Amino acid sequence: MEMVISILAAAVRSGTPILFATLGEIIIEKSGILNLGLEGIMLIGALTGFSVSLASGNPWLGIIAAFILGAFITLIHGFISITLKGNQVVSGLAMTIFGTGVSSLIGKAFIGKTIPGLLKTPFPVLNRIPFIGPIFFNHDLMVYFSFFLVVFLSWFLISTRIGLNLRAVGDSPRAADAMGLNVNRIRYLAVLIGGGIVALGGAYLSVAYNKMWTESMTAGRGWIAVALVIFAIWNPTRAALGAYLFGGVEAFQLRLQATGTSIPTPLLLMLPYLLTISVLIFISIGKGKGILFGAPASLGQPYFREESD
Amino acid sequence: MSIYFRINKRTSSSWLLSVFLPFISVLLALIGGSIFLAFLKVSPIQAYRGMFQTAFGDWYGISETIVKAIPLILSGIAVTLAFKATVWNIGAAGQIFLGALATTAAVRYFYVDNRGIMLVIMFLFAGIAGGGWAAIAGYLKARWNVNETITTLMLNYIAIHLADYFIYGPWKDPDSLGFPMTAPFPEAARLPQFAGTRIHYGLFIAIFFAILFWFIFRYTRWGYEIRVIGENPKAAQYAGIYYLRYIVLIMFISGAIAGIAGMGEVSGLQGRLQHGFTAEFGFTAIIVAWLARLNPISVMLVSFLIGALQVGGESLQILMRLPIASTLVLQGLILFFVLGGEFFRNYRIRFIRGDER
Amino acid sequence: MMVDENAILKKYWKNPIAKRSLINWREVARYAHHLIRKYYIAVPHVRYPVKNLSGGNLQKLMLGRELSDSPQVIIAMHPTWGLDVAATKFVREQILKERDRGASVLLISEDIEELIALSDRLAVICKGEIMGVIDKPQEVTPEVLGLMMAGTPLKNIQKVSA
Repeated sequence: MEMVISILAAAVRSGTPILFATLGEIIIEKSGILNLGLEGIMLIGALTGFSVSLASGNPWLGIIAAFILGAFITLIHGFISITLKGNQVVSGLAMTIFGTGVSSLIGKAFIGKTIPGLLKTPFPVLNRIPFIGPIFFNHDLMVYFSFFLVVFLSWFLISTRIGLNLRAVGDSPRAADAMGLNVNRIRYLAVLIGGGIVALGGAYLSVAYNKMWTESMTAGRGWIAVALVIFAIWNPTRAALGAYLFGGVEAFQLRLQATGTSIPTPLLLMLPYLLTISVLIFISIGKGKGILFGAPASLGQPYFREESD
Repeated sequence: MSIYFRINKRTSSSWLLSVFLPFISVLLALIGGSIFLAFLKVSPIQAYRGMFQTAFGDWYGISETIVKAIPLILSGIAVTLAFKATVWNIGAAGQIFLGALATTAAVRYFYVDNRGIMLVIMFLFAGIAGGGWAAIAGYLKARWNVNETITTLMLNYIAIHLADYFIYGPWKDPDSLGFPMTAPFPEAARLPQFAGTRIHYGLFIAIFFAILFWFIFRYTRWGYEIRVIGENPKAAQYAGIYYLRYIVLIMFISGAIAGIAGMGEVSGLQGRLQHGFTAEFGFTAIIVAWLARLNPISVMLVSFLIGALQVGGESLQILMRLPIASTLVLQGLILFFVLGGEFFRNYRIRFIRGDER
Repeated sequence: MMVDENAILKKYWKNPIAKRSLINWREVARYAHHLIRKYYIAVPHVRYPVKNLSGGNLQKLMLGRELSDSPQVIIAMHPTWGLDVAATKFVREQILKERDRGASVLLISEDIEELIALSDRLAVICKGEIMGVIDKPQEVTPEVLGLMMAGTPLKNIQKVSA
């Protein structure tokens, strides 16, 4: 029992960076912009979070800085996709390449340093619920913030006017434009806020999870998040489910390594990626060959307002 | 009186723009990169001069640039083929790894002490392994519409760990003093090199494939079919092109070429498979293909330029102690500027004075 | 896709456009020019992107592409949907020309005037069932067609009027 609880608690912790990235990407994709640059944005968030925490001694300043810089970096992708109507797949890849490069270039000075980082803050009262308490409510504040974000986004996307407008822009920019919505402005806002949240995922990794910076430390988590958005059919609650599933695999794999199993480590390290592919196959079979339910209908397509002259 | 601007689609592409766009993009990227260098208190002029001199300063630099260009040409063509059909194969890196692994397997288990025969065996192994690896993603796409961008990428990570498994495990050279590497390949399993350089005969394979695919795209029915699939899958179906079967085939061939790039690296260059064998250039191939506007002949030229950038980047590592990933900053910036620049190829901007509206 | 590439969509494997897997682009250009002249397609040159064509010109290009092989059977579904007056007239003329040549044309439309003007025989379908076949569409009143479209079989209408 003890063992199960500790693995599940670890699943929540290691799922949190992926969860932030997935939630951020859901916001961006809901507006109709496909952003494959998650890996790069997360790395920039991780480095910003770590370096500012180290310099200021305050992990929260690091996390806030990561949000702000992540938002502005994603703006590059937004500008190419929204205003310049460039290819969003390639621009996202450019973002990944760029983010990997910039973070290792500037991050070189921070390798080998450690910070106290975010400390564990048991949630009052709730942490005493048997089973649930130690799994969900015995973490740091960012984990609780991610819970809040899941609940908030579920409500925001479905029940608020702004959420409705966001979805309208992602499904049919032409109709949204005709309704009087400013398509470009809404898309820019989605990219800014979503990009910031993606960067929080990176910052969590360096400030709370590992408490240090290493080159390319996201190790594909950004791409797993891209897959999870599809798995979650753009639904924040399902995103949490998926993220913890991946967190669970990671925790399990680390536990196995620690106990000294005879399975070679490289094969264990493959697990999350194999799981991603299996999950994608599973969801794709389930949805048949049609358009995925919940997918923004105009995802990845630039919007050009036709003007006759 | 105010000035407005109006954006219209261009009716004809500007020849001048398509020629100069890549150069302007590279130039702007170098300027952008200098900001980061300055941030690290490194003189950009000194850095770029160092890069240029290392890559072009002497025959050795040029030969090293060609060494880097060989795998870039091959994987650039692999990516070009897939992108032309709008199949987002971004897993060239994984396919390169599989090619390298299969080459090593061929040397271990099917060794023939005759260079001609051995090279053919390795070529087939690398092609089939890389192609098969990519075809997994192609099949999943065709069968269940599984997003190939993500599957090819996940297969990258799996391939890296698979290679590590063999390098650290069953294939580790007992005489390597604990270093994770296989035993060196025997002479018959080495692609010959030009005397005095590290340029290997993979160059001929690369040039051959570039010309072959240029011809296929331009003059053959298959080239036409790939273009139709890429631009309009519905039209392809209407014309009787079997879209799904084609995707698997395109993925296979694309992966096979990437796999052969992997063979060139282990058989022509390193002579063994070792930990730290990188397939970074699998990503760089995307930049190459996009800069070359999916034209195989331009891929050769662009590969040479990017190869020079990488050789120069290595000099930054040695001379200025910058991490090797620094060139990724420049590569990312180049890609951003190319994408941005395409706007000016596709749209015409006109400035209109307020009273004309 | 360019205009010339689109023009050969249904014959890119046939002689003389292609010989043994090789496409003869000179022949393709010649053929595209032929279509442009014959069907009055307004386009600056044959290497012009199809996506930039206006609706009328796109329809003419597709019409030319499909009709140039003298098909035996033509199924035209809403062939003038969204076209301007001149383009509509041109498309209708081409369909009649094909009829005169001897092709069987199945015209599917919801435009009653178009149906009456073009058809030799007219069948009205309501909820998947044929309500009746009219042999001389030009002599039937729109009221009768309206009744049939609403689900009254032709023979019931004739009984009432007789």
